[in-house]
Amino acid sequence: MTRGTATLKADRFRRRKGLSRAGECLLICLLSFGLLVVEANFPAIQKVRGIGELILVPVQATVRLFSGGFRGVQGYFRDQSSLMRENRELRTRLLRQDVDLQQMAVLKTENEELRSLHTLNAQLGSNNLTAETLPANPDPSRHRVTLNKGSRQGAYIGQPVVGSGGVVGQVTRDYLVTSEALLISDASHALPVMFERTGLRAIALGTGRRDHRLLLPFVPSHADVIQGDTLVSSGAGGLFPAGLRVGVVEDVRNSPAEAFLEAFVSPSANLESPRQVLLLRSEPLPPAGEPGPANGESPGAAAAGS
Amino acid sequence: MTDGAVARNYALVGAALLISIVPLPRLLDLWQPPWLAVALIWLVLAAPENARLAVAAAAGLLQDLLVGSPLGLYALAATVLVFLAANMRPRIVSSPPWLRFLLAMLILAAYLGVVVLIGGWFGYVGSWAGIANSLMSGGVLILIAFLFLKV
Repeated sequence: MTRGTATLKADRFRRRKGLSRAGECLLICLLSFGLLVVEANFPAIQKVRGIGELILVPVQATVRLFSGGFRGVQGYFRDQSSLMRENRELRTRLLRQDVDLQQMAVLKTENEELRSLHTLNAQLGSNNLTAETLPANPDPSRHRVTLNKGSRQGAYIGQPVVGSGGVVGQVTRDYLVTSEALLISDASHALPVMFERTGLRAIALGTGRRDHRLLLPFVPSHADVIQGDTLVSSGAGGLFPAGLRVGVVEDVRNSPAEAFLEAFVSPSANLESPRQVLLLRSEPLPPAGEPGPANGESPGAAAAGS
Repeated sequence: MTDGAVARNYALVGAALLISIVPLPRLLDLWQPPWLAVALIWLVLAAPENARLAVAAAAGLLQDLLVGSPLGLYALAATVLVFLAANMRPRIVSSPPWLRFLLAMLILAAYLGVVVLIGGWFGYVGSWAGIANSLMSGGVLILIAFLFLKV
């Protein structure tokens, strides 16, 4: 059999088969169309359809079971995702509230500071100047702060600066609308002080240390100085009014071989980050009862700014 | 072809029928592919000896019962589809892949066109947008079938 004959036979077969398929297709299409027409015009066929669907009930039940499982899995993931979303929202809210809470704590501290400043102001005379510190310290090695009140508002050089806890420092530069105050912890600052318990006088020198501690030099080694003693300003020198809290003795180093002891004082005022301060005008408090004789105070040692 | 292979082919058509009534998530529901049509196209191309018009009509009739469409609608469409696919098969299998895909899409479009036109005539509401969605998702299925199933 040649190749051409074989192809011809295959074509004939295909055509014949195609024709029969076309006939079958036509028949089925007519039947289907007839079914459509019958269903559309004879509602009674719905009963037949009902019977057919009855047969399919197990199939539908199986599918429902399967899709129920699918929906369950889907629901699980949906619940999971909604829980995660909720968790995220709650975390965000918590963070926001945490920030609010922190601000609240800051406000509370500020409020307390302002209240004590107010009390202090009432004690020291009402014409004092309230100032706030500005976040500017050009030389970190020096302990000083910039205040938002200058000569225009009445700030002047040598003006005592007091915080809610006690003495902060003194104004060393007065610009027009700002001023610079040297803190008592600066290495160039000296402050005449007095022990509240014994009345012993001394000079508190700034150390320039980061912990803002003050040093009491030249205190005789036999002097009654103990840890926890409170120091107040003595009023000597006429710059700082007497009786202002300066700090608490934190450490006493007394060597029998030495003529003087060394005492370190922790300042009462917040020198790390003072916010609101009072600039005292020259109306000092009436000198507090100065117990005991003056002892250990250098006559010329007034508060000094460099 | 063995009996097992025949059973497997018909099982595939049955599975397509079942999947077509599985409720999909809302987003995918709009893109419900014409599972039966794709399965029948695959059957015609992969196992033409099993792709009988009567089988297609029966499967279509079952789909009518399952989805609640007018009786005979999917039977008619499935019959037309198998007829077209069977007649175009020699051309399809000898064509390059892109043309093969294009022809399969043409057959699918004809199937969906029958469903919309005839269904619309008998009050079975179908939208052209839905048909377009079905055509696209069906196209994706056909691509997958051509790529991963032996055609």
